[in-house]
Amino acid sequence: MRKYIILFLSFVFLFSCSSENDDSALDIALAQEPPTLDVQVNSSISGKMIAVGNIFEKPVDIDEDGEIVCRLASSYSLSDDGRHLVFEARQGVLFHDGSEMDADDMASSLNRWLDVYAAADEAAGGNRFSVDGNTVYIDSDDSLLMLLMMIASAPQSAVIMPKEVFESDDYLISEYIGTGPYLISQWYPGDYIEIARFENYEPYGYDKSSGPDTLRYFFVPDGTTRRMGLESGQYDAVDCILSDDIPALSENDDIKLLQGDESGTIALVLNKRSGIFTDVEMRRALSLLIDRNELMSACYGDYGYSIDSAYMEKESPWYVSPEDDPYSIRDEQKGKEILSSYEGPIRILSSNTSNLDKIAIALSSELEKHGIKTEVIVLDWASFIEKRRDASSWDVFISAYTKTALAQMKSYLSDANPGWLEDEKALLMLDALNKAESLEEAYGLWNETQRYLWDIVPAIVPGHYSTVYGIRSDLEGVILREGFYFWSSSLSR
Amino acid sequence: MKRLIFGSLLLLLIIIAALFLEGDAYVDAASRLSPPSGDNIMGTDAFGRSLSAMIGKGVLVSIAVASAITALSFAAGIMLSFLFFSWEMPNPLFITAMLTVKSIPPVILALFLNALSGPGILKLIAVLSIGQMANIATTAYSRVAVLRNEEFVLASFGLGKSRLYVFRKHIIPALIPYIALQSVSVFLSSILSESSLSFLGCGVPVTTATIGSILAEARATAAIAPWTVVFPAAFLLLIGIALECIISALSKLDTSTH
Amino acid sequence: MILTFLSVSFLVFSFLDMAEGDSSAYVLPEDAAEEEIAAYREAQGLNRPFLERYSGFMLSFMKGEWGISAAGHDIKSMIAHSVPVTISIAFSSIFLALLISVPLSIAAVRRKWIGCGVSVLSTVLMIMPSFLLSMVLVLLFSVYFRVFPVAGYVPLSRGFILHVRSIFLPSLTLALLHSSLFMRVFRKALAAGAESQYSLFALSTGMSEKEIAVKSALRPSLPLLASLVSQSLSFALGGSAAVETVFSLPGIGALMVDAALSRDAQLAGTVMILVAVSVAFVFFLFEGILPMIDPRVRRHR
Repeated sequence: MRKYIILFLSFVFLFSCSSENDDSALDIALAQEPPTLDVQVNSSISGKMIAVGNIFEKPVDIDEDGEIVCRLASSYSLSDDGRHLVFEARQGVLFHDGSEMDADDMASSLNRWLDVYAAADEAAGGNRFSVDGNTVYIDSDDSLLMLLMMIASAPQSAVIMPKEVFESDDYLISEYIGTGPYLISQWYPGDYIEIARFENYEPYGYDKSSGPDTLRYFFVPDGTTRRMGLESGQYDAVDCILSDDIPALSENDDIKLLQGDESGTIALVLNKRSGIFTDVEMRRALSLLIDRNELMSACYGDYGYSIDSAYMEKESPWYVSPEDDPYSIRDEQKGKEILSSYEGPIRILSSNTSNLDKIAIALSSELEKHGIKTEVIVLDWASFIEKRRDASSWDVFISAYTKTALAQMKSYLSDANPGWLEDEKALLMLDALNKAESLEEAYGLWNETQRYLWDIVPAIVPGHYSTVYGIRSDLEGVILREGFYFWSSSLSR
Repeated sequence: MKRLIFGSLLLLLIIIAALFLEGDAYVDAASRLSPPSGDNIMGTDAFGRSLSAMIGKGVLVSIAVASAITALSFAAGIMLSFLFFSWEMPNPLFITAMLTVKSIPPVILALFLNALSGPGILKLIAVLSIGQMANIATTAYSRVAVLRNEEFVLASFGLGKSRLYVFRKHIIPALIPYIALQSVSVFLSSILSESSLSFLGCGVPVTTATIGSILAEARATAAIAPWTVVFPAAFLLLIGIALECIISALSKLDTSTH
Repeated sequence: MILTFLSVSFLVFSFLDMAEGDSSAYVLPEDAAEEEIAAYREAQGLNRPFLERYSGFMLSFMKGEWGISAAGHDIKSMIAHSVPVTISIAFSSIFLALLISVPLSIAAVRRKWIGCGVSVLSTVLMIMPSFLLSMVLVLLFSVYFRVFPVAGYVPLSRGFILHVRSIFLPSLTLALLHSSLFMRVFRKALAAGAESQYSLFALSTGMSEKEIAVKSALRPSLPLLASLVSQSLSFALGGSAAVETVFSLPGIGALMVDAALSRDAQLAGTVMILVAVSVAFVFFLFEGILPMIDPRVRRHR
């Protein structure tokens, strides 16, 4: 018996030496694994957090005030009529494979980005970049202002890679060679990605070299596990803190919670091609009937969201105050009257990712409470995307839309995407927006467009959300912008 | 025998209790995660729905699903036993089928079936039944292999009785205690498998509640709202105890290990 | 059993083929335009007829060229990374389960009060879903006591102790779940054996109680235990997806779940064939061993 006790004690002793993180490495837990780091094609937030700014860089970027700042382009210019856009390629920037970036690389990268991104291609009027010495330029019959904004900030990132990368026939790139301060050292799918310092990084204008030497991004889909990893010190930083964990974590001195600007909006997109919501009165009725707080709270609990029916996020210059939304003020009775004349069940479609199915459940419960029949269809992501294409199989779908720099990038504002906004006046207004020649003009046009859209209700936005991140309290210098970034972070001792 | 009665009564009690559990099952953000109180004797869940209402429905669905799976497996067990009894060789086709089923974990099968056309209770029942059938088939096969060579069986054949007759008169009585025993285990493991599947998002559809799905959802709020885990777990424990009694009673009838 | 591999891979391929959606939904952004999706499908060969894709897959599999996943990762290295995870957890969970259940069962047969305790323990363990059990273990040992990591896998190459620490809790979770079954069956068999004629005879020859239990009851109970072990092993080799999800272990189960969700027929088919191989291996191994430990079976061969 004594033997077992001794064995057990030595076991515990052996195991209780927990591994210390070396100062020059950070372990970060992410909720989702990006399927690929080809960020020109894939727009996932995790992909951006890991790759954009760390591994890859863009010609220009957008800062917190919405202004364009230069990165890999040492300068840019847009003609007065907006039809001629030029970038000057920065000198002396090295790729991870040692070669120097030149205008050819920039043009090839931007053109490939245009090839795989239909919305950008449209903004470019179908044109492509050409090289002139040290610069790349593009001409179009319409204003390229929106294209410039998209290069700076679209979800599919216009990152620059060596032109040789695009020479293969594969759809996705097979090597990740960028200009950023980190290069990819390991990727074990389902486990983690490790990026390590690129010694020959050329810091220009803003310093990215004070961060850790190694960053390991672990993929931990379960929120409770992420929280426990943060609490036990296994992870230094964690994204997507679950709302119900926030009170307890706020009390924990070893951890600090970060919450940036709004990260995105939730939208209930209505099927305007077939079914009950082809009728604008039905759409308005739904907007009047629902309790927006119920819907948001089902997914976000008590924190991390705001009730707001504006399509764009609050801190964005595009924001239009929802007080002018006639259908955002609840009128249960009226909504119920109109909706209950409908016989068949209202079919609510959602994917089972990111707790969006909870919103579907809440919506269904709301409607059923008023005697309106519903059918909830929750599918995995691939089935969801497929089913959405079939206009005869759903009436409203629920999705989250991450923050975009341009209002028209919200994908439900199109006649080609599920939801099928085919209202002529709306499409004309959106088209004018695409051709705006200045940002001020664009903001003004959007203001009108938003009001009109609030009136015809192509989609209902119950609220906005902002992701909460958890980091160890002695970690300073973490940058929060649609994700968190560590290139200038350090542990304070 | 005492145990059998106790276990079955307990199970019946649980079902009756579940029928009487009431509450407001509508989503209500204002009262989410409230502790047990006058209004909601078991508190509310993360949606604000009364936990007693959810558990009431959940218990019934769990038991119904598990019963369906058990019944299917039991029937399959008897049928497959008859097949093995009639055709003596270890059929390579059978082994292939069995190994194929064994190789595909229920989770994966559930994911695949859900990918075909969305989740559904019938699909869940199908998936879990198939998984259990492989095990029942293997053990039924080994039992039949032993029984077939027993003297009373050979004697029956010698007297010219048909296969079906021998099967009905001799094999089934010998098999039943054993298969019944397995079936009760199947019942229990169905409830557990279903909860793991719900946890992974490929169990019952989100609009249906089962004990398993309630527990799966409660995991995220266990620390701040323990009642969301305690009450469903308590019911699960009671069901488990009931089944345990039934199993140990039935296993006394099983002579296979003597 | 080549037939098994064929049927498994055929099933998997056809399921994924008939499933709604394909890997374009997984790789391309949500608002991808129809042309982009069409271009992607063409480039990935998703438009080719089913039989062509399936036979292409089988041929290249047999040649050893396992190709790349939908996202472009090399399948061979993905599997090479996942297999050790699942195998180490599968075997250590069985090992731990036996370590827990065999001594406890023997003790339970010998002393009544241990028997009661064991009954209660195995009942509670029996009804615990794995995700709850793991949460309890993690809260206790990782967050409160900080002895083990919360999640993640450390390969053997990075250090024996770190490796064992990373797989201990997941193995323990599975082991406890297996134990409840093992204990129940094994106890019953032991109890039966202890009362049988063999033990009476042994008692009359003067062996102590302990030796009787071990020698005479153990042997006949082994086949039962062996078949349980083989069942649990096959299950664990399929990758216990729930445990792998909770502990973020990049094992075969997690790999299969990813393949199913991303509709990656190439990856799914390859992994399934490997799982089928190991399950078949375990099955035939036990089929072969069984006659050696159970004299009754030998009689009828």
